[in-house]
Amino acid sequence: MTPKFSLWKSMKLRRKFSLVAAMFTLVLAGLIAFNVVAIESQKASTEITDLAGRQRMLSERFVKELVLANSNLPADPAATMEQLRQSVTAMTVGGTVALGDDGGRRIEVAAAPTEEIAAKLADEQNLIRTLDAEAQKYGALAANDSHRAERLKELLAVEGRLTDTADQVVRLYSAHALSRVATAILLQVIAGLGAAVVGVAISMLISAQIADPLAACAEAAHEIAKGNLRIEPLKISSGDELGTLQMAFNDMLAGLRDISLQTRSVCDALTAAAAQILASTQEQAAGIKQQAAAVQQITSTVEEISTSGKQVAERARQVAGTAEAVAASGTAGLQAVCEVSVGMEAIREQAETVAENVITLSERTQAVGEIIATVNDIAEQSNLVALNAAIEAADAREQGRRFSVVANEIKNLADQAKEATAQVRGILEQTQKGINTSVMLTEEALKRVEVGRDRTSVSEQVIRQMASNIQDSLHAFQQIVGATNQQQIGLEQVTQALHEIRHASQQNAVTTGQLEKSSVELSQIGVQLSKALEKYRL
Amino acid sequence: MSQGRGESGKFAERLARLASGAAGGDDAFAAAVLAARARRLAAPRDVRDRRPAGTPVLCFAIAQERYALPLAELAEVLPLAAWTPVPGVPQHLLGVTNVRGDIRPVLNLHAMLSLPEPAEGDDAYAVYLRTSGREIGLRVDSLDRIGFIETAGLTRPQKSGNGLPQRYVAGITADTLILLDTRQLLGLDALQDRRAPLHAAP
Repeated sequence: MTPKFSLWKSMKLRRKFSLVAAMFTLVLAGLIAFNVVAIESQKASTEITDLAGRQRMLSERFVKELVLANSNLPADPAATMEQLRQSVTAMTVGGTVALGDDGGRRIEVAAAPTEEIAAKLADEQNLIRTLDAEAQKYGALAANDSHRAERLKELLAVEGRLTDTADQVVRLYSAHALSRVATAILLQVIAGLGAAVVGVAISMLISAQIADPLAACAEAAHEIAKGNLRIEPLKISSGDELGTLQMAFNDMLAGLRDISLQTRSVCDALTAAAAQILASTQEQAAGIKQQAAAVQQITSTVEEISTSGKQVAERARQVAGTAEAVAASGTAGLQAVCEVSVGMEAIREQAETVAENVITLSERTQAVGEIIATVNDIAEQSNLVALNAAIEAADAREQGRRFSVVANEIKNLADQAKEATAQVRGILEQTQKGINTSVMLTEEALKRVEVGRDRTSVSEQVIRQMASNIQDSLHAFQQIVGATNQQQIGLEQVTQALHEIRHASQQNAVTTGQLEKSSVELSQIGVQLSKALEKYRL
Repeated sequence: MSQGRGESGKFAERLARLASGAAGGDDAFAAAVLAARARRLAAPRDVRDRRPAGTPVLCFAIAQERYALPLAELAEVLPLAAWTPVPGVPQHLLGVTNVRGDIRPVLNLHAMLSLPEPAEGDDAYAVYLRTSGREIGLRVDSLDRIGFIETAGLTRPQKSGNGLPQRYVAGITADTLILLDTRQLLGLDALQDRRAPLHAAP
């Protein structure tokens, strides 16, 4: 999640600020050190300038002490000379110089800083040597020598040149010190300016790093406040506190989005549920109205039932009376059926006799048929005989002519006999068919008589059953009369209960109306909530 | 019950009427038969007039068709009860049969005239031709009567066309009675001795 940043970007702000402060402190310390060094070098220059100035003083003192020594006054020109020499040497090549004053101070002297000074110091050294040589010459003269004054004059001239040279050296030293001071000032100014520029640049960098993400955060916060949750997540620009702030901001945005989504879906569900409740309530109200109507109908129906129950009781009494009459006629019916049964039996016996007679007839007809077949055979043979007779007659030509007539007559008779037998056979066949039909019909009649007898016995049983049933019915009708009276009482109780149900139903209707109103309000609240949530654009 | 009684009474009445009616019918029938006999007996005995003109022929049927043969060329007719097939002869020869101890060949006219064979068990008769040698039988389905035909008024199919069945036909009368030719029937190969000439002189 956390992107890789450069060392600078991943550094915490506190450390950055500490780093900047440390940098400035370092620069300040550097400047102070530089100043200290400059001042120290200034002090050394002052001492050297002082030392150079002392040369003049020492040279004058050397002349004075020399004059004093020559006048035998206590003085030590050699020590002064020595001091002069030492001073010049130290100033030329560097070293330690004892000032030789009361404090016995010693100072460290650097070598000549410039060629010019070195040259002047060399001149001064030479002049010191010259002065020493003049002093030796002057010392060698007797006290009253005439040349002493000249010598002294010359000595003083040398001393004057030495003094001038020392002056020049002092001036050179002063100029050198001044130039160094100017350089130091210039360096300080440059360093200060550089430090200022770097400081401004670092400040701008830091401010840019801090200000831009903060501005973006502020913009995003403004958008969220307006309800726009569709903005892009902030870019994590660094690993410092600002980065943490941006991450927290993004988390907040995601959380807000989730919460809004959930809230919106919950709100939708709430609205739908409210609508369902409303619909259910309305259905319930309608159902209660139907219920009330149904109760009304039931009440009237129960009253009708009560009325018809009274009629039922009346009818049951009438029917019981009728049933007694029916029971009496059932007994008469039973007697008649018994007579029918006896008659049926007689019919059956007679029908059997008829069938036997018919079968005997059939057997006799069969015998007649056999006789007819025999006659037919005879006729056939007669026919053949007649034909053969005709053939014989034809063979006999004229003699057989009359015989052929006889043969023809015989044939005619045979033909007639055949026709007659054929007719009889046809009649016999019809008779046989009729007899067969009669036998069948008689058998059928027997079967029907059997069936009739069975049915008669069944009828007898049925009539008996009916009689006992009618007796049972009589009892039942009496029970019905009693039960109808009880039913009447029960129906009155039912009517009372229905009145109570109706009352409860009316109360129910009132309650349902209130519930409906509350459902409407709940639905409106859901709509308002939904509108409020629409402010959040996801 | 009363109706049943009425029914039985009706039956008795009908039976009585039937008994009297049957006796009356008998009388009428007997009277008619007697009258016919009287007429016949009273008729003049003139044989010549009663005999019709033409050649007497025996009419018979083969497979629903009516055929005839001249009476003068016949020996006798008998019922054909059974016959024995003879191996190695053409199908025109039905077989041989025994008549009073005499073995006679029987021709199958159905096959010769290209007619369908009769059903098994039907009545059959044999008409025997009078020849110089033995008597030859022809199987026919039924015998009809003695008829008389004018040989001059016959239609002869040989004049108009030709065919094997027509070989045995001598002529056809106006009422489609077919007169068979006995000489052609007897001229069959199966009946001839091989050395004999095929067509004997008429």
